[in-house]
Parts: sequence; structure tokens; C-alpha cells
Amino acid sequence: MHWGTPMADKKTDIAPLAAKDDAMLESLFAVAKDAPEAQPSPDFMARVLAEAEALQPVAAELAAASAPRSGPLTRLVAMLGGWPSVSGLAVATMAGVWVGVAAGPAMMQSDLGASLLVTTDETYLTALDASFAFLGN
Amino acid sequence: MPFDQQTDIPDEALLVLYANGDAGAAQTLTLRFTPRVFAQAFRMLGNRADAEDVAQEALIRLCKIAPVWRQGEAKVTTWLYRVVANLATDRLRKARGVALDAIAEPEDSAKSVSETMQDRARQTALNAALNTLPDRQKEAVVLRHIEGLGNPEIAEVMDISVEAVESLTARGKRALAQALAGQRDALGYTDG
Repeated sequence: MHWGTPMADKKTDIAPLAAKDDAMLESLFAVAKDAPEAQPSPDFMARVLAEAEALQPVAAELAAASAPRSGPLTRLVAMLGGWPSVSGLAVATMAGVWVGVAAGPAMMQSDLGASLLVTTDETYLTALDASFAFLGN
Repeated sequence: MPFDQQTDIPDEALLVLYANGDAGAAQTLTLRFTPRVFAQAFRMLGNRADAEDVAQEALIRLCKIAPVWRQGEAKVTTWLYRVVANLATDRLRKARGVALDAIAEPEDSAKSVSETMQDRARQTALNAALNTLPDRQKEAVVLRHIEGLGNPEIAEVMDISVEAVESLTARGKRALAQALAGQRDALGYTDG
């Protein structure tokens, strides 16, 4: 709502400007907003652009910076087929540990467990292959 | 990304593109921010050479901070207004006493000669009056009445309360009116 005079600033003790002063300032501010002197020259824009392009990180450098380092762990992982393979190995290992822990006593009390513990009737692979008989002579 | 697709993206996203080495982001960044940065610097400093120095420095700082810009913490434009204001204030303090109201030749030929001359006289008078204000008053008046920022954003730029912004702009306008009181007729304000 406009009452013809500027509103007093409630947060200060400053008296409001006279309407003619306020109108003059608004006119001057409008001139300042449109002033061609406040527009950058094409030469200046070109200089700023050159600076911005010179300072911009290059995509190739960013890719190199984010590439994984070639350490012993990296080489081991690569040898095992990459992280997906390693994670599969880890899952299988943990599953084996779980089976051993969860079924340990029961397994030892079963026939299978008992047969594994028998040491008197040892069987060796060499006994199954006659060719090994010549190795001792 | 082609240039014409970057004109509508948010400021912060533009900084990410720039930091990622996107071709065209440097140009968009330059075209988007340079005019307002230069204008603010010019209105605070009153001459184009100093305004170019300050604007270029502010934009270089923006380019350098782009890769580590913390998304969501501050508006890019608010950050830029603050950098320009600080650089311009430093320059004003160092160069106090040097004529700051020198105005370059106008480049706008759309207006008549008399209109252009009057606008130039008004611009010169306003700059001279602005240069009589304390730095903080001047900064607040420029941001509020020429740049068109809202008081909350000015408060953020200047790191003061909204009430302090209102006080600075009110005092600044009163001081401007007093400084220009004797030039009312000469500037063509005869029927107020």
C-alpha cells in the first residue's frame, strides 16, 4: 500500500525521506542500474574467459587423479579376477567358517566325523597308484 | 554438454560441471557471472579499470574454489557479492583520496544526446554522492537499491543482521539525499 510518503524504518530512529528526495534517489538508482558503464567490455569478457579456461581442471587429469593406485593389494585383487571375485571368495570363506562353527560338535559325533578322526587305518593316495612303487627303488 | 543446454542449470551444478572439466562450462560461467560481478565492482569503485581488476580477481577465486565448493552451504551469487564487496572495500581503503567518480565514455547510443548527457550527469552525481558514504553504508545501498538484493541476502553477504542492513540503507539514503540536495535542479529534478 502506498501512502505517498516513504515508510519510516521501524528498526531505526531515522526519519523517512521526503517524497521528492525518495523519488530522486529512485530515479538515480534506475539510471545506475541501466548505466552502460556498468557493463563489462567484450575485451574484458574475453580475458575472464581465457582465465577461466586456463584454471579449469582438465578431464584427462581428473581421470588420472581418480585412477586406482598400483600397489600390492591392487595387483593381488587383479590377479584374483577383480573385486567381484574377491568378494565371492570372502563370502565363501565366511560361509565355511559358519558351517564349521555351527555344526562342529554334531559333525564330530556323526559317522562322517568319526571316520575323519580315525588314525589307525591311514590311507594314502600313493597306495592307490602302482606307479609309485618304483619310486622307492 | 552443449552450451545452450547449460544456460538453465543451477549455479552450483555449473560449478560441478566446471570442476569436472566440462567443455563449455567455463564459457557459461563467464557469461553468467562476469556482468553482475563487474557491475557491482563498478558501482562500488566508480571506475572501470579498478572494477575490472576486482571482478577478475573475484572470478578467479570462484574458478579456484569450484572443485571444493560445498554444495548447499551458500548461494554462489551471495558468495560472489561478498568477495567483490570485500575486494572493493580493500581497494577503496588503499586508494582513499583518489578521484573515484571518473566515468568512462558511455557506449549506449540508443538515447538522444541530451538524454545521454543527463543520464551521465546523474550517474556521475550519484557516484560522487555514494563515495561520500562510509564503506558499509555504500555497500548496503548499492546491494539493496542498485543490485536489487533483498535484505536477508544482504545480511548474509555483509555478515550482519537484517536490522543492521535496514539501518545502513536508511542512513545511506538520507546521506545521499543530503549530498545531492544542491544538485536537484541541475540534474533535472525540478518538479518533485
